[in-house]
Amino acid sequence: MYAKVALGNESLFDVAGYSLLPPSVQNENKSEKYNKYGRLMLLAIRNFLIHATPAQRCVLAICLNTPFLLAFMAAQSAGLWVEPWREYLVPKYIILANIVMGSAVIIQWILLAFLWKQRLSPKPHPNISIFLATLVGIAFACEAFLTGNLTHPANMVIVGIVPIGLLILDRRSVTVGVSVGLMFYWANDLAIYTGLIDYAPGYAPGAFENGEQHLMAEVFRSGVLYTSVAAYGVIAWVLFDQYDYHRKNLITLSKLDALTGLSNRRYFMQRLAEECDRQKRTAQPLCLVMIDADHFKRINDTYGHLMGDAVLRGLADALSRHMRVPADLPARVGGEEFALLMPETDLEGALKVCQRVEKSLQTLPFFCSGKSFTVTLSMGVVESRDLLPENLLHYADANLYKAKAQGRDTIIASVEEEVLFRERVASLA
Amino acid sequence: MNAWLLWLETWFRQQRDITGCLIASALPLPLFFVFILMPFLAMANTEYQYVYNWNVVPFTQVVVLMSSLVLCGIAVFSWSRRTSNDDYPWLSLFTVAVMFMAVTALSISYGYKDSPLMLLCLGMVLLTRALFKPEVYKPISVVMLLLFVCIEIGFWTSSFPYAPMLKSPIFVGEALDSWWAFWLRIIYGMIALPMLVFFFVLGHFMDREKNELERLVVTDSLTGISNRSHFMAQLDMESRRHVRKQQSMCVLMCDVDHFKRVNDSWGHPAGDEVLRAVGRILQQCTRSSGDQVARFGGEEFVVLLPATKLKQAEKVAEKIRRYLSHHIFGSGDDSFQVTMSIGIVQVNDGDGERALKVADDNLYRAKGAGRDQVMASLLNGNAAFECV
Repeated sequence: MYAKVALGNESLFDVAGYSLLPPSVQNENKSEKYNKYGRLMLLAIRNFLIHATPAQRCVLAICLNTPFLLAFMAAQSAGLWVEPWREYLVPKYIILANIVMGSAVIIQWILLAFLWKQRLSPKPHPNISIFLATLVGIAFACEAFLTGNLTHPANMVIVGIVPIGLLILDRRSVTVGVSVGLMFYWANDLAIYTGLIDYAPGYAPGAFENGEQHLMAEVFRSGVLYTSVAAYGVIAWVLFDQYDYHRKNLITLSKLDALTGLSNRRYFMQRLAEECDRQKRTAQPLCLVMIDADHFKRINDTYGHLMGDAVLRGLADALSRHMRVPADLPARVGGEEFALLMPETDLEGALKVCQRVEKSLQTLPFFCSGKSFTVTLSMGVVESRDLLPENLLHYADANLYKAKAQGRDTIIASVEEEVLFRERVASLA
Repeated sequence: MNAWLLWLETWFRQQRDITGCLIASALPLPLFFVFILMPFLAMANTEYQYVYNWNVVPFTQVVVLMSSLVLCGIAVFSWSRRTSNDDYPWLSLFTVAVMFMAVTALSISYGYKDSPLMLLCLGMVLLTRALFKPEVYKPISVVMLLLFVCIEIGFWTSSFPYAPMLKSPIFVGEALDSWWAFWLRIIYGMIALPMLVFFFVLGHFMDREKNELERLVVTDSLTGISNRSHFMAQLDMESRRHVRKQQSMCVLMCDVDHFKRVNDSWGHPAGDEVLRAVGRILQQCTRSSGDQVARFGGEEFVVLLPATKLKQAEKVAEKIRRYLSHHIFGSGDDSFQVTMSIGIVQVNDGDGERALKVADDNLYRAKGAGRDQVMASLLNGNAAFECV
C-alpha cells in the first residue's frame, strides 16, 4: 500500500486520467518532473531506498563498500611494490591489514552470491545485515588504525559509513555494528595509549622529511580526504532528500482527501477557523458554500460504487476548476458533501462561482454502461459578518437543507451576522 | 527519552529560523571553548610549550573567542525569542557565517588533514543543512567549497604553509607526542560522538515520518480503522487468493441507521463519537488477524472475513448488531442509542466487486425490512441464492 504513495504521488492521485491534485500542487510536480538528469537519478535512489527488499539492501551495501576497501588495498600494495615507496611503509603491518581487508571483501562477496539469488524475496535478513554492518565497521577501522586513527582522514570514513548504513540497512543492525565498532576502536586506542601497539604502524619514519610527508604519502592522504568529503556530500544530499520527501508527502497527505485530491475535513476546519479569525482583524468579506450532490445514493445504487467514486472525482475536478486556488479552498467534508471557503469574496462573487460550477456540471455528462447522466448540486451559501466558525458552518448547513427542501439543484444564499445570532440565542433563552 | 526525542522532532520539523539559530549557535560553543582553553593549558606547562607557534596563536585565539562571544549573544537573543515564528534570514546567515569563520580559522591553523577538523567542517555543513532553509545552506556550502579549493591550491603550490599555528604538523610519522595524544582524543571524541548521535537521531526521525506516512495512507483518520482505498486493495488481494484456494469468504456491509438524525439532533461531535464507537465495536467483534475492517463511506462500514462460511459470518454480524444496539451514547438526558443494518454475502468464486454489490443490496433489503437487522445471501457463480 505504501508503494502507492512512494511512486512520486502519481499512482495515488492520477487515477484513470484524472489529475486529482489541486492545480497548485500539479504545477509544482510538473516543474519537478522536467528537471534534468539529477532529478531522475534522485527519483531512482528514492524509489530504491523505499522499495528495496532486505536482500537488495545488503547487496547495495556490499557493492558500495567493497570498492573502497579494494582501493585501499590496491594503494597499499602499490606502495609495497614500487621500490622507492617501500621504505616509507612497514611491510608486515601493511600485509596484515591487507589480509584483514581482503578477507572482509571475500566474505562479503560470498554473502553477495548467497543474497543475489534471493534478492527479490521480501524475507528480512536481520542477522546478515548485523553481520555486514559489523564487518564493514571493523574493516574500515582497521585501515584507520593502520594509518593513524586520530590523524588520518580514514577516521572520517568510520563516522561516514554510519549514515550510509542508516540509509541502506535498518537502524538496529547499524546500532549493533556501531557499538561493536566503538568497542573495537576504544580497545585499540587503549592499547595504543598504553604502548602495546605502535601508533600508525603502517608508516615508517622515512615517510616524513623535516616533518613534511613524502609526495606519494601526501597524495594518498589527500585522496582519502577528498574522496570521503565527496562521499559525505552525496550521502548528505540523499539522506536529507529522503527526509524532506517523507516530510513533504506527510504534510500533503495529511491535508488531502485521498479519493478526490481536495482538502480533507481536518485541514478545512483548521483553515476555516483561521479565516474567521483573520476576518475579525481585516473586516474583509468571507463566504462559505456547503455543497451536496443530489441523490448521490441513487448513483451508487444504480451504477455501483466505482462509478460513485468517479462521479465524486469529477465533481471535485469541476469545483477546483472554478476556484481561484490557492486563495479559495475547496474541500470534501463528508461522503458526498463538499465545502468551498472563499476569503475576500462577497456574496455576489460567491454566487457567481456557484452558478459557474452549476452550469459546468449541466454540460458534464458521466458515462456508465452505455447510459449517460448528469449530476446536480444543492448549495448553501453564507457570507459571514464576524461569525464564529461553528456558527458559519451551521448557517451554511441550514441553507443547504433549505435548498434540498426546495427541490434540490438550487442555491440558497444569505448574509449572517454574529450579533444577530447572539440576539436570537438570547431571545430563545 | 522518547518525550525528549518527540520534542526535538517537533522543533526540527517546524524548521523555524529562530530555533535553527539557537541550536547552531549553542551547540558548537563548548567545543570552541575547549579549543580556546587548549593553548592556555599548553602555555601553563613548560613541557608542551614547544608545540605551538606563539606568533600565530593570538590571531586564531582572538578569531575563535570573538566568534564564540558573538554566538553566545545570538544564542541568548534566540532563546529570548524561541517561540517566534518569524523569518530571520539575515540572523540565520550571520549565525552560520560566524560559526564557519571560527571553524575555518581552526582548520587552517591546526591543519585539517591530520586533525579531526575536516570532520568538524563537514559536521557543521550537515548541521546547517538540517537546520536551515536552502537560501542559507546553499551559499554557505559553496563558499566553504571554494575556500578549501583555494587553500588546497595554496598548499600544493607551497605558497601557503600547512598548519601555521604549530611548530610542526600534528602527525610526523612517529608515535604521537603526548600533548597531541591527549588533545586529539578529546577533540575527536567531542566531534565524532555528537555526529554519530546526530545521524542516529536523524535516522530515527526519518523512520518515524515513514511509519506515520504509511499509517496515514491506510487508515481513516476519524475511526482509526482502514480506509476505503486500503480496503479495496485488500479485497482485491483476498479475492485472488480465494480463487486460487477455492475457499469461500464473506463480506459484511454495515450502515448506521438514521445517522443523519443523530448528527442533526445531537450535533456533529456526537455523530463522530458514534462512528468511532462503531469502529471500535467492529474491531472487537472480528479476529485481529486476517479480518479486514474499514470505513467505506460516511456512515458505512465494511468487514471482510477471509476463509469464512456464511453461518460464522452471520454470527459475527449478529454480535456486531447486538453490541452496537446495547451501546449507550452520551449521558443523562442526552443519552441515545443507535442501531445498525448489516448485509452479508458469501462469495465462492472470489469476485470481490460483485460481492460488494450484493452485500450492498442485502444491506438495502435489511433497511427496507425495518432496519436494525442482518440480511445474508450466497453469491455462487453467476446466480445469487437467498439463504435467509
